[in-house]
Amino acid sequence: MNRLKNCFNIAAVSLYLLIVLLYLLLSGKLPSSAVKKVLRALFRPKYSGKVGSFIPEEGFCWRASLPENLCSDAESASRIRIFEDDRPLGPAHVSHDEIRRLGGGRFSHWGSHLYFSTSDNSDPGKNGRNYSVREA
Amino acid sequence: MRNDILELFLSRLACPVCRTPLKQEGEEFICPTNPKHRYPIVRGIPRFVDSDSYVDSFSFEWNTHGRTQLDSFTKDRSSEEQFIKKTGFTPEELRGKLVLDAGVGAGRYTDVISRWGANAIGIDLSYAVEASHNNFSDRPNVFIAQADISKLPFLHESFDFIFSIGVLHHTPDTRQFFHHLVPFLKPGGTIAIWVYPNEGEYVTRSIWIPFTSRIPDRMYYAWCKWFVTFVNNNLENPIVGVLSRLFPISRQALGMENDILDTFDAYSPTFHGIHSPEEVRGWFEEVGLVEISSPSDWHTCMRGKKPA
Repeated sequence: MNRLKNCFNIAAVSLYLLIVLLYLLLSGKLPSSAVKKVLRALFRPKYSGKVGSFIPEEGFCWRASLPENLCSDAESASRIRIFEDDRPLGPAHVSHDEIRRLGGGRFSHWGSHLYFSTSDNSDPGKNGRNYSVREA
Repeated sequence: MRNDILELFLSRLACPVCRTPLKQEGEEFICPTNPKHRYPIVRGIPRFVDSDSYVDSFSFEWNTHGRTQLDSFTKDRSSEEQFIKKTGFTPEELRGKLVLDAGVGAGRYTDVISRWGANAIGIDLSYAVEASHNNFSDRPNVFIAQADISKLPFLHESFDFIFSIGVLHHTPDTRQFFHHLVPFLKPGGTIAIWVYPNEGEYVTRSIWIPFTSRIPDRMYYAWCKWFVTFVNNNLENPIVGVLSRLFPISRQALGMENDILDTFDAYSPTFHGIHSPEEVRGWFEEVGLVEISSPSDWHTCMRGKKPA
């Protein structure tokens, strides 16, 4: 009985908040750009491409540009994975401070930029390796 | 030793309406000026209010999570670290002093200052006082009462230090309720507050409050338990990602129970003020406080001293 009551509570509140969310998005009280971006991502092909034009950011962190229409960690959960030659780098979605201090392949996709570090903290433009990204 | 804090409490008690010292008769306090002003002691806690008024969500919250954020029970220092960042107070400053915790809740920060050796009097409008009274029943330097910040039952200039962390923005008027506290500070005493800043997730939350505060507490709490767990288990999903940004949940890396509690706390109260450091500094200046400073870059915290 308690479990049923619990399920009812969750369903009822979820429905109520969904209606409120729709109202807040349609009235412009909450920004809808992130929602539109995520919905569009459901219907477009998954992105993949080479990463070039590395700019040193700070510490072990480098920055590269990514297409603006990709969902980043700034507004959602990025599905971008970065590969050094064919080996995946990581951990993903870490703070930029952690990338700068620790490097070791840590990366983040924020807005239209990729913040990343190489696996051995070498310069990605000089270590002779290829860097690419793919949406998971 | 418990008699010491009781004596400190009794010596400073005053009728919230008439401001005359109260006298105790059995299990109630009576105002000598107007005997109709009577304040009972119920379950060991003096009650200066009739009900929990607009803070009923906190009555539910802090009796459900009576010990979730107390360092004494979690065996860490997370609350102590937050307390220091938000007030700038030190053990050396507070030891042996009489300190008012305005909005004690379950006693998260009274736990800290009582271990530092301060004499702590904690007041709260909600029935969270039941939880804090239970938490500190064995602490000889803590006394809890149920009272309203806008009608405190003390003589003016009673306290060496006053702090109110995460409380004033849940009152009908943050600035006014802050100003209600200052007369109870001794000359030379220091007051510190932390209120919600007008930035980031706090702004997003304030948009939701008119809707979420209407949900019955138990229903909303059941939903929080489900939603916080669901989001944490599906962080890689872009749809979940965008939902959690439109409806930010608490993720403080202090455990799921803390995140559920904090998410409930964020959206259930009736009032949710948000304030800039400049605005809060202005409140301190208005009442003549000096040595005004922000103890850390954790917005929006401020402390100030009453001129001696």
